[in-house]
Parts: sequence; structure tokens; C-alpha cells
Amino acid sequence: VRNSRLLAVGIGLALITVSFLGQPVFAQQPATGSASSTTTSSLGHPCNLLHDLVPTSDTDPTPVNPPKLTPLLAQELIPGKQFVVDHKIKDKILASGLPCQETVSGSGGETKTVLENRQRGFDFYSWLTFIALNSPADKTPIAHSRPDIKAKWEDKANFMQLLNVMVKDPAKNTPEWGKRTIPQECRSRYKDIKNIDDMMVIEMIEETFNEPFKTGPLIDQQGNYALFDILMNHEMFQYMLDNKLYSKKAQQENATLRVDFPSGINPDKGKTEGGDPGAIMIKVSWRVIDSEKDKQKFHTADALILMPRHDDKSEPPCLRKTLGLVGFHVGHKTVSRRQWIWTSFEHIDNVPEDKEIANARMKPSYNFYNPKCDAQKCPVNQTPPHPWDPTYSNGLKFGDTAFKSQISRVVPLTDETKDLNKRFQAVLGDTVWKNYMLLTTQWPSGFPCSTEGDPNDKITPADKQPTDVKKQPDMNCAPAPTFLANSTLETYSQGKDPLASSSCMSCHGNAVSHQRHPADFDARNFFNQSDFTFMLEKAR
Amino acid sequence: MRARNGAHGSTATTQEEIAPMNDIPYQQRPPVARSAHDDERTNGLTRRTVLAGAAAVTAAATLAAVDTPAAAGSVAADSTADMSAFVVLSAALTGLPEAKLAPGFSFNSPKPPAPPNTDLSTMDPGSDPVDIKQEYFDWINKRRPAAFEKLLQIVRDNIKAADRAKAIIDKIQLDDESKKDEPKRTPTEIEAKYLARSIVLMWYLGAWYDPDDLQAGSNDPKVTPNFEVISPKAYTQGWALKVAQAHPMGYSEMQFGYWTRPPNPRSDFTG
Repeated sequence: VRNSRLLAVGIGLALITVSFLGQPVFAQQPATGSASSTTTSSLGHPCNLLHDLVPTSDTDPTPVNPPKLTPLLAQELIPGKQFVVDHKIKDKILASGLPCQETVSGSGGETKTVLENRQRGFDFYSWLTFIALNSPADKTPIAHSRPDIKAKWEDKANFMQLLNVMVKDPAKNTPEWGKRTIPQECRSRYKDIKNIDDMMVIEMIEETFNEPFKTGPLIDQQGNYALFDILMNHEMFQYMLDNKLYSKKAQQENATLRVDFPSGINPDKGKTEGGDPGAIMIKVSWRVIDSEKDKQKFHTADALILMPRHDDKSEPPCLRKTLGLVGFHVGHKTVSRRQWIWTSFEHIDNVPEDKEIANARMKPSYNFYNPKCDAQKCPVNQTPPHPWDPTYSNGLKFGDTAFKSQISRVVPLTDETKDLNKRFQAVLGDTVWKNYMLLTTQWPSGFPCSTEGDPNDKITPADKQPTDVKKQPDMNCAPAPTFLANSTLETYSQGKDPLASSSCMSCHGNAVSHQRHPADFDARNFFNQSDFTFMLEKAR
Repeated sequence: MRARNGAHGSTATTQEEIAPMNDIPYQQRPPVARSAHDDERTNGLTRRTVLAGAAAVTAAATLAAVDTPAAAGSVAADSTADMSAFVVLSAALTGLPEAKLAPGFSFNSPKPPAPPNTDLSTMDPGSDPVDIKQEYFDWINKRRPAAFEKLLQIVRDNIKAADRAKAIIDKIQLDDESKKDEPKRTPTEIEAKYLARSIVLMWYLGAWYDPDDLQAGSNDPKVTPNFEVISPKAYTQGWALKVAQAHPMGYSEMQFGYWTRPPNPRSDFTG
């Protein structure tokens, strides 16, 4: 009541002053499901407890007091000189594994704000995550990995592609962990491939070549479509399975379920065993690699691509291509960041920044930009001409053979992120992974908003409460940074326009499922939340 | 005055000591990490309740018209203390908690029973990704530096007051009842009074109403002041619609389909 009175004063003051204005002032501007804890993967077991500050001990990630930057960050980075990393630090980081939960602090950089210190912590976490997920699936050290060696996330024992989870005819079929569906068209064409069941298969549905909100395909400088794919880890899959979220009908029948994927959590204080990585989803972008030279610059995959069916009579062609990784998104839900942590990496040769174009300080070539083409002839960040759909006869070549995407990075990387990238790229030595860079990490910065579940639930412990999407006015708990776009995955929505430019959390916060409000159910308790993923819309 | 960048390192450390739960999460931590300054925020809001009558209908006390030359002090764009003073001023004027206007704001007070911190230079003005406070601060400082300094000086002079918000409001003499005393006040004091109104409008509407226009409108109801929306960001941050448990047209961070349910309690919006 007191607060109300006080607010009334503020509003009253505003109204007193505005009362004589006589015009509008805004006119100028435009489940708690039973997630199984079964773990069949070693990713995140044990949890990686490293962070950007020196910890109290190996089993207690609390920073020493006063806080000190970890040796990798404390080392001086001299401009123009190669950054040499102590081999012990390097080995420790490369073998540290997957973080189950972020461990960040507002301290550690004396000239930095709390927000900047935390951002550094999240970016450090992102690099650890990137290294863990891209370490070789055969458990050999990443320091010795070749460009074409299968990464952990590509191994069906660790991650499952979305279309293999969203099975056809779910009334009769149930998704099976580790089972990769190889289309008959591919089997019949490539009978000589012995390990075909282990190959990455990408089905050329619209989401594979058209960017979010159908903003258009991305065409590389060789005239090929960039391809997109989505995967999930076992913890996320198990929740889908337990709640039959792979079935559109089951989603509709279970309309009162508040979808709530399991959260990653560190072991209890003082322990290294225990903890759980929680739900992790990955979205990747690929480009077709034709030249042998390029095969040394990218992480590559030997993949089968099932093209769309041309007509009812013909079989859709299955193509075998070498794909190079150009973009890598990770979404990770943790108990302290229930709005997920959003990590984005790219290949370093994808596109120039706007500033680099203006200053004519560009590389000789890029994956999605031609430095030799002037702005009039090749205007930047334009969507391709229609039609966008791939055709039977062109394979992965875009129909208009004269068109190549001319993409620039609108929001530059911060100096701090560039600095961190140099350090981790040095850690990755001569592997192909040094050719990737972190764009930034988006995270919910509002405390305790991002930790709390339902604030009205006074009984359930915070770490056991479900994600609460009814938080108002900001269910995303103040994403930091406000905007994040990967030039290969959100190409046409880069920028800093509120609610229009790409923001992982603002966008994914709007994701829904096929649930519909049951007539006999209190509308106040119906949520249709999909817990920050659009995957549920793909149920069949 | 301490440079903002220089101050953050030390205040950040203090904040960690007070509320380490925020940063090093553990499975078995208490449900909600509350710190000493959280309590103070609540108490501060309660104390300001007295403001209810004061802000709207205060009968202005007559003050000796001793103008402070603008040159006597100026607002430092990168000063932690000045930014904290601006946040405290804004909270007094709007009735909204400091940490709502400037997420992360902290008085950095020691745990009770020690007295609350009243040193503006050791407060944490907060750091949030939107950082609308900085945009407003710079906007005002560019246009009305002398009156802005006057207002911040009032905050500095009254920071130790038992009811800080009321003391600040009383000193500014914000309401129309005080108009009759304007001839006795200095031009800077009068400018500061109308700038304070501009600041209220700025926070609630995300728009700038020039103090001269507000003064002219105050003298003649037929005068309609011009305004300009400060920025796209400011448009999304206006408090008027949040207080109304709503959101600006075209901008919402609420869950898809929220309109099918009654809005959350206003306390969810305003703290």
C-alpha cells in the first residue's frame, strides 16, 4: 500500500506536469516434467569447474580473496607479438571438460564494471564449452585433432539431431537415443559407404537453408547455400522423451505441462563428483567446401544431404558433400540462468566488420563477402533475389548463379572479447579450432530474477523451482548484451534496434509449443511455454 | 570526485563480500540471495511514503535567494558519485526504487546495526546492459549543466537526511504551490525546479520536455510544450506503462500469450 502511494506521487507528478500537454507522448515512435537424470554421455561428467579467476581450490570454485585473474588472463598480451601460453595452463584448459554451470564474478578487473567482469566470466565459460564440445569424439586430445576428425557434438552418442527426435508418425514411432535415421535415398545411392550409419545427414527442409523468420538464405562466395542444423544433448532429449514432446498430438493432450528442461548444476561445494550438465542445444551453420586448401581452414564433416522431393514421381537426390563449419550457437540452461546462456562462435573468415570495410582494412577473401566488389554493385546485407528454394537440378547451388551474399558484421566484437579470443586461439595452437572466434555470450543479467523460479512459491527451494516465464515486465531478466547476431545464422537481423534486431533471449522467449488452452482449465495457469526453444514446433 | 571506472573495481569487491551468492552459484544456496542493501532499499521506499503529500501539495517554505554560481561546481560525466547522486535524485522524484531505475545500484551499506552508507563516492551506481541512466545523465548534462549541478548538490546536502526523498523534494520546491515564491528564488533554482519536472517526465515517458517549456506551460495553460522521444531505447524504458502493468506499443519482454491472463501484481513491475 505504501509503495502504491509513493508511486502515485511519481505518476501524479508526471500527470501534473503533463496534464496541460494535451497530446499523446509516445506518438513519435514507431513442468515440472520428470526429467530423467540418466546419463549416457561423459560430457559434463565430471563438471568443469574452471573459471576466469583463481579458485580457492580444485574442489571449491570460489575465487581467492582478493580476486585474481586466472594465469591465462593475467599474462600480458603484447601487440604484434605472438601470445605464448604456458603448456601447463594449456593442457589444463584443453582437458578441463564441459562446464555444467557458469561460475562468474563481478570482481576481478579493477578497471571494469561489475557487468564487464561478469561478461568476461561468461565468455570464459563459452570458450570452455566450445573446446569441450569440439574435442574429438574418439577422446584423443583436441591439441592433436585434424580438421576432419569428428567432434563430440557430431557423435550420436553425445548429441542428437532435431529431425531424428521429431520422428515421423509419432503414434507408431518413438525416438531412440543414438539412433540416426539414414534416408533410403541415401542408402541406395551410397551403398559403398561402410560407416554410413555414423554419417551426418542433413535434410534440406526450409529451416536448413532459410534463416529465422524466413528472412532468406545465405549464399557463400562459391554460390552455394549455407546449411543450418539443430541438435540436443541427452539431458534435453530425455526430457522430450519423458514428456512425449516429439509428438504434436501428445503436446496438445498434455496442455497443462509447464515445459521445463533440466538445468545444469555444479557439484555440491567441496566435491568434484556429482552435478549435471542439464539441457544443451546447438545450432550450427555449414558451407560447402570444394577446395583442398579450404579443407585445412575449417572443421569439416563428410555429410549426406537429402534434397527436397522434386515431384511425386521422382526420388529426391541424396548428395555427399564435405561441409565446413562456419557458425556455432550453444544454448545451455543452468540452475542459476534459467533463461539459458547463449554462446555464439564463427569462423574468423566469414565476414568483415563495417568498420573494417570503411577503413579498407580487409582480408583478401571471406566466406560471405567479396572485398573486390564495390558497395554499389554488391550492397551489403541484402537478401537474395527470389526464388529462394533449392531446386532439383541445381543441387546446393543457388538458382541465381550471379548472386553471392555480401555480408558485413554490423555490431563489432568488443575489445575485451577480441583479447580473450587471442588467448584461447593461442591455447588451441595449430589446430583448425584456432580459426574460430567467440562473438559474445548473452546471459540474463538481472539478479535475482534469473535464479528465482516463481517468486510466489515460498516453499520450493530456488534450485528446484521451475523456470518462470510469467515474470513481468521482463521474463528474460535483462539479457546482456542486449543484442547478439551471428553473421551466418541471424544474417539479416543484425543491429541494435529494440525488439527488431537479433537477441537470442528476446527471440527464444517467444517460442511456444503446440499446447492449446483446455476449455476447463484456469487461463491464469495456462502458459504454453516451450522454455526458450523453438524445437517443439517441429513435432510431427 | 572519483572516476567511475576507477571506483568500480573496489565497489565490485565490496559487493561480492556482501552478496557472494549472486556470482558463485551452488546447489544448496538459500532460495534468494538478499543483502544488507536490499533491506535498505525496502526501508528507503517505506520512509519515502511521507512523500505522498509532500511532492504534490507541498506549501513551499521561503528560502533565502542566494544563487549558487554554476561555476561553483559542475557535473562530471564519468563520476561514480555524480551518477549515484543522479540515481538517488531520480528515485526521490519518481517514487521508484533506485535499483529499479538503475539495476545493480547499491548503497553498499554495511550490515545493520551499522548506519547506512551515505558516501556517494562509495555507492555502486549499477551496471546493466541497457544503462538508460547514462543516456539520461548525458542528455541532461549536455543541455542544463548548471541546473543539473544544482539538483545534484541538493542530493549531496541531503544524503544523510532521515527521510532523504522528502528532504530532496522539499528543497527543490517542485510543486505549483511554490510558484508564488519564485520571485525570491535565483534563476538557477527556478531552472532546477523545472528541470526536476523534466527528469520525472524523462523517466516515466522516455521523452524530453524542456524546462523552459514546462515553465511556460505552468504560467499559461494554453501553452503546449514540445517534446522529443530521447531514443528508441528510451521509448522502451518509460516507466508509465510499467507502472500500469503494461508495456510500450511494439515492445514487450513478456511471454507470448500474456494477454490471455490478468497482469502480474504491480509489485512485479515496480519492486
